[in-house]
Amino acid sequence: MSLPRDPLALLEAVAFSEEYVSTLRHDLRNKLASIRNAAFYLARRAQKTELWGDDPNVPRLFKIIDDSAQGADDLLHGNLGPRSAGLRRPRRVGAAEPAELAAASARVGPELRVELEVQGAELYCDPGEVALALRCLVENAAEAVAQQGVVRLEGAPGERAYVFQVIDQGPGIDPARRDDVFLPLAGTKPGHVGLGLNIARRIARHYGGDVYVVPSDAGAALALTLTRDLTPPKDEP
Amino acid sequence: MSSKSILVVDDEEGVRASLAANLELEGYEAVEASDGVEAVAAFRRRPFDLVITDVRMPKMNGVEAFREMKRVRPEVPVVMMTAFATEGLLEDALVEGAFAVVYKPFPMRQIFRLVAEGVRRPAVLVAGAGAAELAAALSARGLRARAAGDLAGAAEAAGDDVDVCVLDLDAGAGALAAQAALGRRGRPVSLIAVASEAPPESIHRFMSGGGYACLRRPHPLGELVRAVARARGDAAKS
Repeated sequence: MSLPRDPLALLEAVAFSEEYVSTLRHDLRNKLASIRNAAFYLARRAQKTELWGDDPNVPRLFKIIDDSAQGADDLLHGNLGPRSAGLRRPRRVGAAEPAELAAASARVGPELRVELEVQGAELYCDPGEVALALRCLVENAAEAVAQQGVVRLEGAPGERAYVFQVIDQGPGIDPARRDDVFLPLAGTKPGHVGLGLNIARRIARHYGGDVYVVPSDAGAALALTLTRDLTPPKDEP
Repeated sequence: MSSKSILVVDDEEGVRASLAANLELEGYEAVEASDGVEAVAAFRRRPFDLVITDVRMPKMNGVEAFREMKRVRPEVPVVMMTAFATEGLLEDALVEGAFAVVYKPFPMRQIFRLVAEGVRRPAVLVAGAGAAELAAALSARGLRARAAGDLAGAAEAAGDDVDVCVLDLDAGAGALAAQAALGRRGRPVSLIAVASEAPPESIHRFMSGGGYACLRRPHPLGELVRAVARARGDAAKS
């Protein structure tokens, strides 16, 4: 018996890679900055000693460090890893389409039910890409309730944006940690890398929206917004 | 004379400590904070001449910290630094009047030039039609800005404290003459043109003559504020 094919597998693999490379780039740049600044400091201290003039290898060493850091940064500016832009196929879709795809393909336990309540509106987007973003939120919520109970995926048009919300009945998010949930690679769940919310946020931002924590009395609620502008985004034909 | 004090904010200890050490070696007093909450607390406790802050940090990010600090002492220049090539949060800070932006890993010489400029609290000079209104709008965003009486007097009005000049390119030859006069000054000034009717030849001459950017009217004020911050960061590279 063959396993059913995941319709979002390719999009997810590319989005994961993209997010991972972006995080890697950021972290490496911080380390390169530390090395470059520290080498600059040590070089200035060394310039005040006789060693600087006596041994040509000393200034050479610091030049090699600075050139190497610059060279590594130049490489980071280049193309590393695949890009989701090449896979994007935007079109006019009903808001229910990506929500239904997300719910149907979410990898959640048998004791967890995803309830959908999505009000109609037309969006201009790649439905697979938005489904992937919503699936990341649904799977994140499923983990929060230990794969049991109900996760609700709601959608409603707002004045200037379409707003999806994923609501669970778990322990909720500590208000002091609201920003930390978006720190990449900082996941606390076993077997999870901790990039799902970043992927969702990257996709939402491409469509002029965002992902944010909604204050909730019980459980946690994450909202994903998309601008309802029906004209194609700037970088789309 | 007491040394100028710089608040260095970054959750990445290596960047923060090495930056502070270099600034101290350069003669500044450097105070470190590891996130936005610590930075705002330090900023409330005592005055600083300039702040250099990372954008992405836990607890409170650099942009939220920048807004808090602007509320307390709006005149203090805040330099944003980031390790991301594109950063939505950063764009918000630039539009709201951050002094400049630098991208990690930056050369320390760029930081030294930027800090030396920033602690002087340089001004933006606006010359040409609508200069007074535009200068007032820039001031409302927390920038030091003033208007020149006319384009012909722009170079003289720039004095020693102007590092960015906004010229009305619709004035044609007058604006280009002002650009040339500003270029002859000993002190370099970044030039930004605003235009609604200027022909492509004028824009080409302005840009090929060393202009930093040309904005088409009507442009949102934030676009100009952002161009000023980017011009300052880029000027410190050279």
